[in-house]
Amino acid sequence: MISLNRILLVDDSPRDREMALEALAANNLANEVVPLRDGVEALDYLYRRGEHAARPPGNPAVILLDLKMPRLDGLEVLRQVKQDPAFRRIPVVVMTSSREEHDLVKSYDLGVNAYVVKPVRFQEFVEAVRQLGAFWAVLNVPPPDTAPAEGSRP
Amino acid sequence: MHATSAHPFPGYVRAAIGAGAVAVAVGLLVLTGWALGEETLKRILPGLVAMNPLTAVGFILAGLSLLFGCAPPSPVRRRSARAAAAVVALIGLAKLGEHAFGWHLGFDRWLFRESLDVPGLLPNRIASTTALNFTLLGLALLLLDRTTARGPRPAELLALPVVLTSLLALFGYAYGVQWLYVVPAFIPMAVHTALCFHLLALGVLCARPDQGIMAWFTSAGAVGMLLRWQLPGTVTILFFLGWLRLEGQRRGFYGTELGVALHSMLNVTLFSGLILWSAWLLRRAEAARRREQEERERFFQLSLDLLGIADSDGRFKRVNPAFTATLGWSSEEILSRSFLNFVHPDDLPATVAEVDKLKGGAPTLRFENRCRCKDGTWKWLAWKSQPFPEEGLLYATAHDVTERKEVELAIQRLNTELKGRATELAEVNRELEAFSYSVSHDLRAPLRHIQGYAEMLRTALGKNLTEPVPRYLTTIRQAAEEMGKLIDDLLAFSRVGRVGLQRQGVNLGRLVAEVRQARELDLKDRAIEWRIGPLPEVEGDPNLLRQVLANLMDNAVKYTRGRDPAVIEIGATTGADGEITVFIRDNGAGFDPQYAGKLFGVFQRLHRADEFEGTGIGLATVRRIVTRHGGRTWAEGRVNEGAVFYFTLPAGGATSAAPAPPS
Repeated sequence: MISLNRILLVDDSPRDREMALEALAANNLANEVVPLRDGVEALDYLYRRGEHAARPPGNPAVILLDLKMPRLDGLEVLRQVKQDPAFRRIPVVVMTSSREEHDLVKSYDLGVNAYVVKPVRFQEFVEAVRQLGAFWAVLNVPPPDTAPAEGSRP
Repeated sequence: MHATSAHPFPGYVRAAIGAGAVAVAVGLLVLTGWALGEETLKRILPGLVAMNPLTAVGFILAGLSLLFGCAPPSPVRRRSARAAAAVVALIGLAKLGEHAFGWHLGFDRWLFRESLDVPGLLPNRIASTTALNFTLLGLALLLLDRTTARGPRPAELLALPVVLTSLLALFGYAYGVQWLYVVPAFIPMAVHTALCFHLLALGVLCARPDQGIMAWFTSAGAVGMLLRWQLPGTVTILFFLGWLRLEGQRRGFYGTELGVALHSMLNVTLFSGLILWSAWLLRRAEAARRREQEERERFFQLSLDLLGIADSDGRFKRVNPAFTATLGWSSEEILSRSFLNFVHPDDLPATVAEVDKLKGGAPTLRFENRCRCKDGTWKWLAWKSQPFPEEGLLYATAHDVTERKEVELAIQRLNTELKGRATELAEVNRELEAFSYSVSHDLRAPLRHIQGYAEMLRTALGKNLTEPVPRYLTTIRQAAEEMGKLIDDLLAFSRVGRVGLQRQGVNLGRLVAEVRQARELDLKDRAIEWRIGPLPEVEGDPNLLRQVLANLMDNAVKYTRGRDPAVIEIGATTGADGEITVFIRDNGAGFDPQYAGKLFGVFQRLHRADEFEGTGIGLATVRRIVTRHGGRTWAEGRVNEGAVFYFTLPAGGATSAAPAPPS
């Protein structure tokens, strides 16, 4: 039996979240996907505070992170995650519409594990999400301190 | 002795050297005369006094001292000259001591003692006038180089009595007055002794012609001329007239009264002539001076620049007309108060500091300030001043630089404005950057959503869709895709204008190969014959140039759709000036040449979208990139006969034509 870890999906756009969830579901990915609406919520979740204070313990297998978000943007979330010894081993995949060199350079400088530009075509988008899910949540061996979540499904 | 050539008055120094040489020669001859018993050498004429051997030694020493003194200075020569002079002075002093205090040294009788005295004549001893002259001459030679601030030098004061006493003895010989050369009860001064003294004393004077009183003689102008001509002339003529008067009376041509009358008359004539001559010289000198003064005065009046003489407090004592013309004040108004009153308050501290510097004696090379004109305006003046502290004056000139200053200020203002504009422009650029970023992100997101939800809708509706639903869904997707392409093209177009060129050597042939490789998969169903000629290496931004080639090649591929085979030719030519022209020729749809000018404009299309898809930005991007590289773009074509697109890259970047990689 494989214990499956959660996937964090951080995106301010409800449509993008829905499309990503749809794409993950279409690919029959069994991991629990936690949709979060911005950077503040993402950090609240990781630090188990605010409305996420009661969440089950353990780090996610991967964080899918949008860059341009209100309140706290993706680059700032990335910076804080990679600075905190408790979280810095969590793989972070930036999923964004931006091809700007500035964003690419900044993300890699901050230690991002992968950078994916959201394809405009839906079929390609579905394929990209499938590959990401398959790789980071299944194929990739997570760091040892990523405890299996209590609520994980077989 | 030739080394005197560097001296400003070589003639005088040569005369001094001659005098020294004569004295040495006379001394040596006289000693020879004593040694050989040759009376002519000793006394010249029978019955005259013979020169004492010690006197001859004195002349040799004095002559040598003078010769050393005239030679180029060196420590050895200076010491030798002083030693010889000191011995001469000592001989004179010792003999004077004998005469004055009755000492009996008798050293003037050591040499040739046995032949000194001639029976019937007084014993041969050095005369007291000779002793005095040796003393004076020796001291003069010792002090030859001692100078004074002004007036005669010690050597000159000492040599002058020697000149006069020796001249007196010579007069005595010439006029036959024994008293003048025989000091009573002592032996007389020999004639060649007197002559040697005279020459040596004159030599001492001539040895330093640029110092003391001698500088008057050698000076240019009326004073030098008067002294050089009239003094020796007067002495000579008066000497001759006196002799003439005596000689005539002796021969009985006239008595004393007539002689005196004639002599006086000649003297009156001579002096009148000399005075008239002096007057003429002075008049001429004065006229020359007045002319020079007038010349300066005329320039002073004429000058466009402000000229003035001020006291040390900055109050002008005299100003030229340019002052009043430039500033508008009358000269009385300018002279009535310190000039600081005219200076702009903002420039006053700097001006006061400058005036203080001038008071300290430092000249002002350039100083600029504003001065008030009578009409209330301000003029910029650039000053140059020279203080003369001992006179309490400063000479100032000023140039009106108002125009230049105003231009400078205008330039400065423009520069500041330009800097502001540049900052604004940079600000606008930054805003544009942020705008483009937002566009790329925010405009793409809804497009993605349109496509995504259309697909999701298709899935949700299931397999059994009936037309036109599938077609509608497909159209929604295609429209969104087109808009996505448009956004991408527009972003690329705007980026070309914003991003700096990364210039480096670029192989155009390699770029073409890269573009073809990238399109290979998409074009596998097309029959395209590529004809790629040698393409040169150029200087430019590789990414941008790749975009140029990609856009032009994509265009050629697009508009040859339906041709079998499509022929696309790429080549380059190098002009005489090194300019490189690249062309891309196709056998496709071509275009109506009358619209050729519109081809490179943004959103300009010559074909309907249902014929050939496109955003109308590709060629505009090409033109923008090529223009930024300093090149040009144009196109030739006919409907259905294909098109040729050209772009140039300027010389300098290009190196050599490199063959294209094999296709």
